[in-house]
Amino acid sequence: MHTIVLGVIGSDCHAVGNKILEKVFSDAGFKVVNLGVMVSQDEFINAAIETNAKAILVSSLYGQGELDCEGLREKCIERGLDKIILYVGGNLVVGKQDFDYVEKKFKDMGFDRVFKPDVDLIEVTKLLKDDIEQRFGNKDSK
Amino acid sequence: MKHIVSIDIGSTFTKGTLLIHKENEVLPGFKILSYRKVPTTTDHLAKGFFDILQSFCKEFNINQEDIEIYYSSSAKGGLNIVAIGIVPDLTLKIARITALSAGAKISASFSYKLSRKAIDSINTINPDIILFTGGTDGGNEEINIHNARMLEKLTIRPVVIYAGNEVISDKIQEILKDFRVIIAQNVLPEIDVMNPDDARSKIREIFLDTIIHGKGLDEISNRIGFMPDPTPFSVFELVKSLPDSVEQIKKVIADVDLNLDPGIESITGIRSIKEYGLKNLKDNLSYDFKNFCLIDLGGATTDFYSNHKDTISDNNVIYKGLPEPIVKRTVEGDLGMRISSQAVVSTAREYIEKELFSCFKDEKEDSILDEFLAYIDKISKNPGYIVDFSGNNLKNESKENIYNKEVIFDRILASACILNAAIRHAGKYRKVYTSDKQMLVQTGKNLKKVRTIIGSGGYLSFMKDFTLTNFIDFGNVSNKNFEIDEISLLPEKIDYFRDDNYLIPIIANLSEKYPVESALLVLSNLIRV
Repeated sequence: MHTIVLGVIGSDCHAVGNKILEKVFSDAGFKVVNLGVMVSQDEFINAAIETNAKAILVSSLYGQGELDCEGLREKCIERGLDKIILYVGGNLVVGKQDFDYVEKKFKDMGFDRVFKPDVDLIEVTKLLKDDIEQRFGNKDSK
Repeated sequence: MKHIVSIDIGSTFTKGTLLIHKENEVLPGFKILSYRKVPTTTDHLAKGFFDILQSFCKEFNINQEDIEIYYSSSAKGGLNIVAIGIVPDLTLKIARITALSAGAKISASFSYKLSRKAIDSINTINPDIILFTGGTDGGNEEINIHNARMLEKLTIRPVVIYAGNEVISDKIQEILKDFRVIIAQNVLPEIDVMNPDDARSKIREIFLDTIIHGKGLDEISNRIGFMPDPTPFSVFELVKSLPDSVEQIKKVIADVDLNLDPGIESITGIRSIKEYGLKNLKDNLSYDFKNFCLIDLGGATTDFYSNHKDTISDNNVIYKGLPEPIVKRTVEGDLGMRISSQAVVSTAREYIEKELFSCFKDEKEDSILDEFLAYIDKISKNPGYIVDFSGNNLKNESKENIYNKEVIFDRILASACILNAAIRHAGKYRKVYTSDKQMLVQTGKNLKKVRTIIGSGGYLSFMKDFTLTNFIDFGNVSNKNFEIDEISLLPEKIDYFRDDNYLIPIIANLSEKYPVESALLVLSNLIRV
């Protein structure tokens, strides 16, 4: 079973979507370490190191995701998580910006995938399984 | 009625008491018959122990075989542990909590991958036990395996207790095949589940069956047939059991008119009932012993215990980090009244200067500070130095009297130790602005609502006029500063009690077997200051 770390980043306390994500990913067969709301970059990384997680799934609803997410990839590399998969999703920026622009911005930051608020979560679980297998191979999937 | 002896072998003194245990129709209780204190002979720990035991036997004409004996030891460095974990805030933090709750002294702790330098320093420290943790179950393997391979290079062979990711415990055992490796349950099986208990009891077992031999305690265990606990382990047990015992006592006592009961002495086990015992017990029962802190302020360390279940009911508070254990012990090696007094000055210089200058308004700041530092120099070189704690001899002396100053110096030193130990033990609030409101992020244990604080240890037990007003002052100051800073979640209103005659370590030995009787004795011996 693959372990993934889940949480809402920064000073964001939107809790409902977080609970839904936990349910969906658990049902899809992941071992979910849910850190809840107001999670700092270090908390994500700490939990991922101890649990040997394959992916960190970052949510952000309150429009300041860009600031909160900056540097997460670099910090992961610094702390030895050089292969970890990073996903981000939610209302990532304030106001109406073109999603392609937002996606590019977060991919440049080092996120592997970027999701709109209305994405089909079942699709995301499938993508995540594929991504994990591709990056870590099957031997790691306990 | 049976005779019981409880002895605590400390690094400076060995203290013992002889009690009788009385069954009573109301409540069973202890009565203290005798108390004795002798210097500890470090190269022969058994000496003080048997001196005390034999003097009791002689004084009351009883046979050693008829006595039930309990004892603890913190002599010769107590139980010396090196803690290893992966992330400092996660597994290493629980490893430290676990070791401290087992009564150990943590001489060093290491996170992430062990370096060659870390191995060298473990060799130098030469610990009794290495508490090796890391990873949730099914979690990180790589770092632990690296660390096991590094530990294998040690030239010493301490006992290794492995309490990390259980999936690789066989592998760890295989790598460390030249060591005695004990596998305990993972201290962090899931990222938000703390599990210190199994590792804690494994540490105790090792202490009992291995370590005491190196300390010369086996001479005692060979002769009387069983092993001692580390002193802080016993105190931890007492702190854990006190709330339930006090509840039981309250239930029983509620139905009894203490004033009329001629058997009261056997209920309370009070040694000097005329002085304060009965009144104490009645008074003390009206205070909160469900939630409390206990401070053991010693010459080298300050131990801080709390028993408090912290529940967050405020919607504006979000808790971060690992859940805090209800019963918790922290130990501060840089806070102590004698051996560590130099370290206190570097830790709490600002606070000490502020207190000094306000206590000695009439003196030049530089000269009083020099005097204080000279005093610190003196006591750190001579840890046995005792100012006349009673303060009784001061009444007829002038203000400039040297003792008078030293009494104040000691008080400032003690306050600095307690305050800093409390700040490190307690949690914190940090203000955070979210998009719709201001929130408080809490880390660690909230002690704001804890009122009862017990002071123990040589200084606090005998210093009759010492109080904890400092806490409240400090709380007020930091609340003012909260506009810009974080605040420590220290007690706001304090009921402070003094462990008169320093009985708690001795009573603590009895608390596992006689929780209610021990609680009675503690309560009737505590003096509210």
